Amino acid sequence: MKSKIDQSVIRKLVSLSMVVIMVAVFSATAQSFLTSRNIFSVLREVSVIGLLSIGVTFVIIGGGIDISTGAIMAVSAMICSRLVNMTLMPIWLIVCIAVGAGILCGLINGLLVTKLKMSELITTFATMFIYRGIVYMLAFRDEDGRLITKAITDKGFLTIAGKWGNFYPMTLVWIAAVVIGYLLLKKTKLGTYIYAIGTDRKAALFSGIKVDRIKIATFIISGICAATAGVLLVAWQASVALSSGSGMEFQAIAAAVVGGIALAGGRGDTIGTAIGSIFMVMLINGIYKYGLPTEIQTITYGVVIVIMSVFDSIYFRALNKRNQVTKRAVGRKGEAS
Amino acid sequence: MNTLLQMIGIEKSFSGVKVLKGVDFTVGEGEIHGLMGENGAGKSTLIKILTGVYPGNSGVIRMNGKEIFINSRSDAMANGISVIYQELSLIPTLTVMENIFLGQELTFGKVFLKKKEMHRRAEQLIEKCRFDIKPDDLVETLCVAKRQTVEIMKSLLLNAKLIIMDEPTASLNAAESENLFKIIRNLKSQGTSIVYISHRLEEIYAMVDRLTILRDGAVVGVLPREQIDPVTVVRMMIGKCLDCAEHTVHDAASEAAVLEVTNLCSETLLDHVSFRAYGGQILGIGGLVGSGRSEVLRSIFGLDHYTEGSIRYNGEALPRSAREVSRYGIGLVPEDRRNEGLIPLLNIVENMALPNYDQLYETAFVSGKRERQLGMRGIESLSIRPGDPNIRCINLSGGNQQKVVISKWLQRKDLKVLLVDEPTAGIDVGAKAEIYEIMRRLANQGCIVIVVTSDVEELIKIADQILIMVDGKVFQQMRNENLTQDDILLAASRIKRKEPDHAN
Repeated sequence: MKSKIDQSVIRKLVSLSMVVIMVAVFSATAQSFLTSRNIFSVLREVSVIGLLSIGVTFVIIGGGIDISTGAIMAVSAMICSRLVNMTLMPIWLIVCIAVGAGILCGLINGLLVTKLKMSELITTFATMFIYRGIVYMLAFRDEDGRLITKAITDKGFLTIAGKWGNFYPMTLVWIAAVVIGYLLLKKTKLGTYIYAIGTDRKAALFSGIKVDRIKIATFIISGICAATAGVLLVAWQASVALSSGSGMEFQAIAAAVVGGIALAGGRGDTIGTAIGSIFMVMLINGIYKYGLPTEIQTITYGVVIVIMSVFDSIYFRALNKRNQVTKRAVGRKGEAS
Repeated sequence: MNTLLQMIGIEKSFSGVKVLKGVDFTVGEGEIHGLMGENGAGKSTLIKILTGVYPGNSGVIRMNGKEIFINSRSDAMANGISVIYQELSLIPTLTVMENIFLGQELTFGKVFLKKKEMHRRAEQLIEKCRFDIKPDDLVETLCVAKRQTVEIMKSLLLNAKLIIMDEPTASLNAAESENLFKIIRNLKSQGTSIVYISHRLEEIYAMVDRLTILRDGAVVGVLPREQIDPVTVVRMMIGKCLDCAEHTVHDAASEAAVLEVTNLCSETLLDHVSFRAYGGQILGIGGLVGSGRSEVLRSIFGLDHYTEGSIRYNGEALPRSAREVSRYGIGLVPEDRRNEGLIPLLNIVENMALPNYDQLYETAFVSGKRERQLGMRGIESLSIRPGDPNIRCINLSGGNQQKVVISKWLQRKDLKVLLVDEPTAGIDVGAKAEIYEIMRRLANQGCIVIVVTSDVEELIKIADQILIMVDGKVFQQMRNENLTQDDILLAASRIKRKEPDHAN
């Protein structure tokens, strides 16, 4: 029997109430915000960013960071676009190949980090460029070799991003990812190990956990999510821009931070990330409804990240104040011996 | 009593230096076996060989008479040997249950956790050991003592037959320690053997069935319970009789500088701490880890925030930022010298120059020549070895690192106060003596020297005035005259009688 509510629940209520307040403010002041059409279109947008965010959540909880997700998404989208336009492969096979590419990209990230002992930031910073380069390699060109974009006309493929009334079923893919992600984190051995390596790598090692494998797994999960997001994106937009997805890796990380995923690792879950994703997309949508310029959106993004990070550090410090003295004493002892 | 563990003729060398010279070590079934020895006597090396951290060079290890080979931690675990680290192997963000089962979860088909089953088993285990925790408690919300019980349960779940505890009470208060002893006796009664490593004599007398004493990598004695007495043990450990007579107390001159701390309070720990330290004297602060000793030093140096009280040097209030305090002529030699005392990747000269750049300017730029001169002066005056100013500090021995840290403050011409936290932790005997000498020399020059130390012997040896802290308060201040280790230990643990049920 738990006497007090879990701190992670409180943290989620905080971000959830932020969403509620924002919805209230926007629907009272901005026209056409609280219409089913707008809400569903927001949710469609959430599903792309949200998927990236779910993926990167795993990496962050495992104590790492992944900034190659936007590029992986573009690779997957470009593969789809190529295969749909140039082959007669069945759709399911195309999707599998695209997701397979995501797995491969994630595996490469994971291997570089664990086997070559590179830092996560540097690794994914580098692979971000490499994967983006692959997007250029795969892109369509005209006879003179100039890069062109080519729209997908295949009706079958475009139904992935179809419509049921005002609702876009691709939102369900994201919801499924949130649920599966949650179960993976909370109900499986892998999930426990991800928290363990993200909190204290050495302690996890001492408990007999194969830390490298778990780390690679987090990058693969991130790759799968990003590739899936790529499939949705290309089906929705019907074409791939060369720069598509660039910048989204950071929006995805921002959504995770707003949702209570500690960048230091070991804290948070996909429900939090989902709330964070909704918050971020709605914020942009609402600002857009006011007719404010893009710079305001960008600045707001940054400001929200700062506020939430500060909130987390203050909140967390207050929470642990009682334990701090003893903790420090232990730390000292550890150093001395 | 049946023999559980037998280690015979264990030898180990590090780069040609013999650290263990044929050690024999046996532990009986259900025995609490103490292991004592000075720093560097080889205790931790022996334990690391037993737990697979290092391979031994030669020797045989037997469990229940059968020879075993331990090459990794998992080999040790598989043979029922486990170590309780302070908090190393716990994951604070996970629950008690998740921690106990970490690495050995019960699962459906290797993937999904059997949470209910694990919960039930954890509860059973807690009940069996009569621990005061719940399976769903987050480890980060538990105090150190309770975290230790989680560690113990983790070992028990692995069916550990032998649990090694390395200084388990170092960060516990008296009541918590008492509780731990109960747990240990309870384990013993259930047939588990314990190897108990401690520096605290009184715990050893109270707890162990047998005691093995190491000195310089060799066993100097195995004493059964009846033969354990303080004088014998100390004599065996040190290898000579303690001479406490040669110490002379230095009294402060009437015109000496004075550092006055009045009613110092901090948000979390310090509770109206007041004392005076005088130039020409070494003030030693003793007490248990966590009693607020380091916090006092950190507050004086402007690192820790204090909510109440004042700190004055000759009547003048000290600034509250570390930068200004150090410019004022006050230096801190922190306990964690590798992380806080110096920048490991910088060389000796650069490290010494760090707090002294204000003295090294020539026009607008730092003078490389002066910086080098300063470094050489430091190296020579404290005979730091190797005397190469370009060597990175990470490559120095502990003793020489400590000399660099001290030396960077000695280079300040206006040094008024030197605060030293655990000056000789992890430092060999030779360097120890040199560091004592440096501090004494400094005091003789009229400086105020304040030393925090857990080593009671050291405290008696070097301090003129001794201050004992308990639970963030000054418990007692004494002139170091005819004091014995018992006096200090008594003062440091008088809490036992004062607060019998201070469990959390």
